[in-house]
Amino acid sequence: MKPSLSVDIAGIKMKNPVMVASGTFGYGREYSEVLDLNSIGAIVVKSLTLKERRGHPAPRVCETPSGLLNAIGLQNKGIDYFLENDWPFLKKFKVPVIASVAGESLEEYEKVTEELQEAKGLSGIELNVSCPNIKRGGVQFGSDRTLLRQVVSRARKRTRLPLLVKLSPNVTDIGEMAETAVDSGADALSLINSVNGMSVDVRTRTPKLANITGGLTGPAIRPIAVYMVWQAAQRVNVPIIGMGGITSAKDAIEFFLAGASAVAIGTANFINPRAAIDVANGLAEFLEEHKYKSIKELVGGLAV
Amino acid sequence: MKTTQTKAEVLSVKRLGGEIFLLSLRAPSIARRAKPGQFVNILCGEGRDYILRRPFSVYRKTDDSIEILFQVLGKGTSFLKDSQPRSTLDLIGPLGHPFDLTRDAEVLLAAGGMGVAPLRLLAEQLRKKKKKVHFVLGARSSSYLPFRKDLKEISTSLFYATEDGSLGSRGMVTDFLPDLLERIKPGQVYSCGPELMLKRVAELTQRLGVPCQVSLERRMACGLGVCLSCVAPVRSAVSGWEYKRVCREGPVFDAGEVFWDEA
Repeated sequence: MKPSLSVDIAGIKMKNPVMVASGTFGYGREYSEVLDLNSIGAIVVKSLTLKERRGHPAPRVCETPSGLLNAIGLQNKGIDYFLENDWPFLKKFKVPVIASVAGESLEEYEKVTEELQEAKGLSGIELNVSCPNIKRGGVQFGSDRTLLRQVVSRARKRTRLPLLVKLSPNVTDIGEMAETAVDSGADALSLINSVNGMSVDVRTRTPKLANITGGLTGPAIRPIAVYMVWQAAQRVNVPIIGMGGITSAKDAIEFFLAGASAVAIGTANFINPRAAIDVANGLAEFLEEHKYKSIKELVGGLAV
Repeated sequence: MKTTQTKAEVLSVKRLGGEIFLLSLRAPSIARRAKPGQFVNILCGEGRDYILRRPFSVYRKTDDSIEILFQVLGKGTSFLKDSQPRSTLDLIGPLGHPFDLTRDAEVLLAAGGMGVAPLRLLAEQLRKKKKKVHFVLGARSSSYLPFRKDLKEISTSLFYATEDGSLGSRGMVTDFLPDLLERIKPGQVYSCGPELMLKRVAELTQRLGVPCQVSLERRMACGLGVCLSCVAPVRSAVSGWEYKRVCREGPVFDAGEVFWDEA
């Protein structure tokens, strides 16, 4: 009998435990031209804000050793546009869709979460409390226990959908943040988001990013991500979605062993649009080779 | 599907002069669909602990192959120049919004340095449609224009401007453009090159009321339109201006559309 890849994350049923991370997949339209969206475990769309956001000036990205620095600035057309244009397109597919919510104020998080109740068929909501690229909101919520508690509990009141909270790594104690998010109502945790970083062009003596600082992603941050998943898994009992520089099934297995019940692919999508599908296939091969019955047998299997 | 991810066989890598190379790839699915102004995103290297793809215009094509003109500047292009024939490269393409082929009988193409890359295929296709194609090429010096012989056969006229005067007129393309536009009176201008040059070309053509299309360049990550890295400011009726994706709504834009002040 073939090993099972299917998982249930806080009520969200996925055919495989490999998701695509917010901000790396748009709203599905572009990638639907090069791959079958239905083969993906779940799609987390680009973060939505109440009003349209222009985003930061270019250059918005900069390549770094085994990584990518980005300062996009949460460019998006706002929640209303999503509900009218992108949701009708996405809901036609048979893949769970999770909406990422960002905001500059508690009220904004509440309003966007509330408006998303109109998206019939939406599988879940992920609170983006950790984007390091907005000057207000974002990084502050995810780095401050009180603000984190407030944003999660207030969003919690506005939705019955599975509520995921995506944690920022730019904190002193990720375990504490994980606990706070869960105590405030999170059904699952996603971690990690990007790590604060910057790069300098020594020829021009200027920052390579127009925004000066940005978030680092890609293989360079994988050890940080695995460490934080392990820390969080020891403090909470809710499912954890691990992400941070995953490029292969082997990378993903690190996260499962550290305590993740699912994983997400982000930056790797840019290099290989089929990365999530390739990782899922690699996991299936691994399970078969080692005679596991299901992916669940790997979760938390770290031998210490 | 409009865009494909494909493994293309390296046919040849030729050094044209200095650090400028021509890479020929067997890629029938891309060659068939590629329009002038479109590009391919090439994985340069193993893709493991990796570096991002690099975008390159389709410079020339046959029924089953495409050619890329590139200059070696960093890791990605260094890798490309060492590609061995019969090895394969992972490509995504064709990508981007192509040039609009004009109905005008006479056009002017203005290229700054490597900006010639998307314009050659355009010139070839316009010539096939019996248009008069006036090619204006500018660079620091003649050594940066090793591909110029190749352009003779597809141009009605070729004008060179080099900053050091080693070939053609001494100066920049934009120094001579007002006179050239006056003399030739093209129905349409197409341009690609450094952004400052494009801004000036846009100003000149707008002043003279000549329609103009420009091809922009930006650092890209995904090249498909999902990451929102490669944006350029474009005029918008609603909010004054907004960011559009150079990989998707571009790289070709109407020169009058681009909000040059913010670029």
